[in-house]
Amino acid sequence: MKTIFQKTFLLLLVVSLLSPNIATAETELEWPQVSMGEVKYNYTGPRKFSDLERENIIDIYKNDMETNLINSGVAVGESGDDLIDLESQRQSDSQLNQGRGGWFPETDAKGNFFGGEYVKYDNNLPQVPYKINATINIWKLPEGDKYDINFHATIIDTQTGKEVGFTSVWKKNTEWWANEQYIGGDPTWVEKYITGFVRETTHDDMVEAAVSDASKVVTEKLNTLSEKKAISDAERFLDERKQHAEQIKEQQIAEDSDSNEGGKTAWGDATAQETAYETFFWIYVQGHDLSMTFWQMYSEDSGLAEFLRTLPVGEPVNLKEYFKSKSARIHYNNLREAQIDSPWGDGAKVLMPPLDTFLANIDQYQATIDTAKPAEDDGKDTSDIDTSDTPVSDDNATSDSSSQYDNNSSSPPQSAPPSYPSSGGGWVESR
Amino acid sequence: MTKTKKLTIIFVLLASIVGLFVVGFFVLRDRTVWQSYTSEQLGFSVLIPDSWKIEEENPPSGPDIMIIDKNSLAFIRVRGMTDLAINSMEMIDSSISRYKNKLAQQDGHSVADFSTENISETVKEFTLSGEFPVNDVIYRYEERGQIATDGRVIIMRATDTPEDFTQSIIAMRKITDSFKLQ
Repeated sequence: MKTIFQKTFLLLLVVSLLSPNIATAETELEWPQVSMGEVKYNYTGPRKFSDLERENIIDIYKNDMETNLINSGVAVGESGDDLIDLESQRQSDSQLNQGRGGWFPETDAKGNFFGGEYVKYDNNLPQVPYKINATINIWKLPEGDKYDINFHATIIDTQTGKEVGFTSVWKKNTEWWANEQYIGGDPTWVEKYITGFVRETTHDDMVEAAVSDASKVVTEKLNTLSEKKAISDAERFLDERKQHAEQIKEQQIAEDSDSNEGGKTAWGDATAQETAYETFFWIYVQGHDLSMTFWQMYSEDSGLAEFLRTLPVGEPVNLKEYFKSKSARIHYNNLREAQIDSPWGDGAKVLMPPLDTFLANIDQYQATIDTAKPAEDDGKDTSDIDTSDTPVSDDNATSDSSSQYDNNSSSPPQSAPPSYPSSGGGWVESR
Repeated sequence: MTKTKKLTIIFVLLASIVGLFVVGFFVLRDRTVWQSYTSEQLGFSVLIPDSWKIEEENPPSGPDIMIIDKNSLAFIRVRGMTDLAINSMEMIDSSISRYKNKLAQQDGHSVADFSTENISETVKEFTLSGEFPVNDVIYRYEERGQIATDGRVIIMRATDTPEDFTQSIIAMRKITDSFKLQ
């Protein structure tokens, strides 16, 4: 079971990572990944623990280990009943909003709604390559309030079922509850500051201290076993900053080039989508619902449609001309890379073809965005509308589009607001 | 008035006018919009350019504020901590000395230009510069910390990669210079 904090963090991470307007999920098995397996608890001493107490103790230290691993950059997947629950939840979340997935609204710092995105998950989570089984052993010593504490963790390769690593941490002749790290008082500011980006913790609980020590060894072992090393907060922060800076430089170069080359269209910079048509195109191009035309999406009773209707309608452009701009080509590739890199869920296909393939088939996309607004109250299915019609003007479109479609048989009224998924993906990573 | 004096006055006037133009040019050219950020928790305010952003965290050891340039790797980290063992200027001196030694012991860290200054009867400031490695990348920094006899500690560390540091430290110094305790 994950803590509320972890679930909240996971949700935020999902929202922040998925930059395309509609996102899919794709798992790259490169970071150390593990799931928590069975944790046993053995106590030797005069005291008798009830089953409930034993379960609580197991839960506490299992969560401790999971949190330690997450904080050191290891992705911890669900297992057992939690995995089944998550897969089931994903299945229902993916069906929300007419099969487009859960709706994640976006708000500014003042809480004002300004857009959002659909997030669709694959129902089947990937096979986690490693599993951790652990045993907590505690012996009450005959004299005083002292214990021998042992935490033993084994790493199991889930493919072969074989043990590929283990650690056994002892805390001998100790109180169960003590202050190990800062005996004799609070830490000084030097101790607090010198820890750098690592969030320091004290270990009043000596079992927790043993779990912490074991987690470090397990992380190291998982780093060795995996292709890519789990990275600390500091490394992750600075890596992200570096990538961000490179991206900014790339964009600046692209913008400079754009200003000096032909092929600019009414849509302008692909990263600054100012009209509903342009925004629709960049959603549509991600390949999530290729059967939907602009006017169908625009007139829906959905959060996305609501967002589109806040923008000027705009108009279609010549895509061949549009894609002569570097900004459009770079944005396309960025969106596609985001689909490839997205770690949320497996099996979800990369729906955007490579840019060359897309350009070779650009006429199909052109036909879709050129699909004209259907005539008012004609009762026709929008899919039958002649695509050669000239698009209507912005003014007409914005003034009557929503009421017009209320009675359209191809876009039935959808009174329910966008549905929010109750859970995010199946993986948790540290920041 | 002699001719020489007249010429001198004219020359000074002309130089002043040219100087005003030059200063005006640079003042007008810098169109950076500065915003004030106040940390209620740490009781300080600082000015930041609008192309920078703030990220706040509150770990067990005390507030952790990141002032980050959106367009480069440069950032300033502000840490606020309380150390109740600090209750005199002597204790401040002792802890600063311990800090200097600890820094020097860090793997791959280098420390230079470490100096201290009494800001008042109850506050001491230390400044230093240096380099530290993260993930095989070297970062350069300038740091300034203030410690008060009531145990309050605030440290600002301005950081960037060595190749960009010379440029970014100009803006970072403007930010750290605007730091004001409330």
